[in-house]
Amino acid sequence: MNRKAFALALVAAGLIASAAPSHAYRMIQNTGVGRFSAGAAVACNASGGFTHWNNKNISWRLNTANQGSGKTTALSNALASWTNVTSANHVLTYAGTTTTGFTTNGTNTVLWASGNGCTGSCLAITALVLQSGQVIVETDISFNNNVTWTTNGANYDTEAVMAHEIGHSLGIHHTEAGTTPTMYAFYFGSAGRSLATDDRSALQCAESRY
Amino acid sequence: MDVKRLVRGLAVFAIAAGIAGFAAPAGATTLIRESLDDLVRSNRTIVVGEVLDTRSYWNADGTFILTDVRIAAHDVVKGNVKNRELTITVMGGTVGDLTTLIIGNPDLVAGNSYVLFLNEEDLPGGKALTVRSLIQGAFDVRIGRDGLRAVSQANAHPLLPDARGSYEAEGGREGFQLNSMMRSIREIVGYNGASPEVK
Repeated sequence: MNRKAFALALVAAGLIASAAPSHAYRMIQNTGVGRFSAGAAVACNASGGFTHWNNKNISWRLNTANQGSGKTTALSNALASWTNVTSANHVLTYAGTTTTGFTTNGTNTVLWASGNGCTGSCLAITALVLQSGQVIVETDISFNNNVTWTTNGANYDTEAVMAHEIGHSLGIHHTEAGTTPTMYAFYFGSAGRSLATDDRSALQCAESRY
Repeated sequence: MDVKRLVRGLAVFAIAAGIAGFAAPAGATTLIRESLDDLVRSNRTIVVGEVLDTRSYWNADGTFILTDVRIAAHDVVKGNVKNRELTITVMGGTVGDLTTLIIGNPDLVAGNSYVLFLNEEDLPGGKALTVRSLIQGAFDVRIGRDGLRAVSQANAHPLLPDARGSYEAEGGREGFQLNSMMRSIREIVGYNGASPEVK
């Protein structure tokens, strides 16, 4: 390709990049075609909307079996991080312990198990139960009990992964930001405990739209 | 219209799209990258097959929505499949107006073909043959310039690096040439399954 064409390509690249949404965060959209789905990553203004809660007061329970023991603070801190987002009225609370598992029973549960479709290379798995297409009515998070989970910042840091999975539970997908917000797709240690501007913008997006 | 100019314009746009990073990541549940070797070793059944149909339902104790996926196996690369047909179960699905969405699940659509790495695992409600490695255990079979290719669905899902520091889904965005992938899998299966020679 000659220089002129290459220069043209660079200009076009600039135009494409500038046409992209200014925010890097993405929301989870149920592509709902009557089958199971992994959920699509969409922008805040996507037609068809995205998964979201209608109720802003959401409580979670912890199953303390297996490595769930001693993880109350990690869960409470992760919930507080999202509650503290300004210009968003979500109030996430820790409601105590439970003995229920990865079941659709109206209780948002965090648990550790060697199963639930999360073994081998899977660290944690999140299920969203949706009604009317995009309305989240329940969420459960299952951590792989065969992996070592810590609360002192060493790998794998429970609070960092918890904050990330709670983000998914709020309908937030992985960010496309090249930095390291909590919703960055890659684990980057205990720094993931603290929300970045991009994370907060994602929750504010849900707040403003619904 | 000048065809040469049109082709040149499309090429420029394609390059520009690449530079701008048009490909969007997706996915969610946290997964560590698995190599082809890992996938072959950790799954008891590997097939190339077409999804015939899917059926979602509540599990026996009514606590979780599961989906049965019926598959016609064109090629069984590892394991035994009776009558070249098998049914696997995946978590999630839609029953009535309720949908359970599992982030990181493979996307299996009736009429499409896949390379699937399958193992019996604990799912809500009991053991079942499933795509153990979730999105990493399903490769879309597509027509490429050099014939059929198998492209990992994990390309749409960022992965945590494995022990070697690799984080790209097996085969990358171009995927494997299907026949070549089958040969590699059979070599790994043969190597793992071979009894030591006794002289």
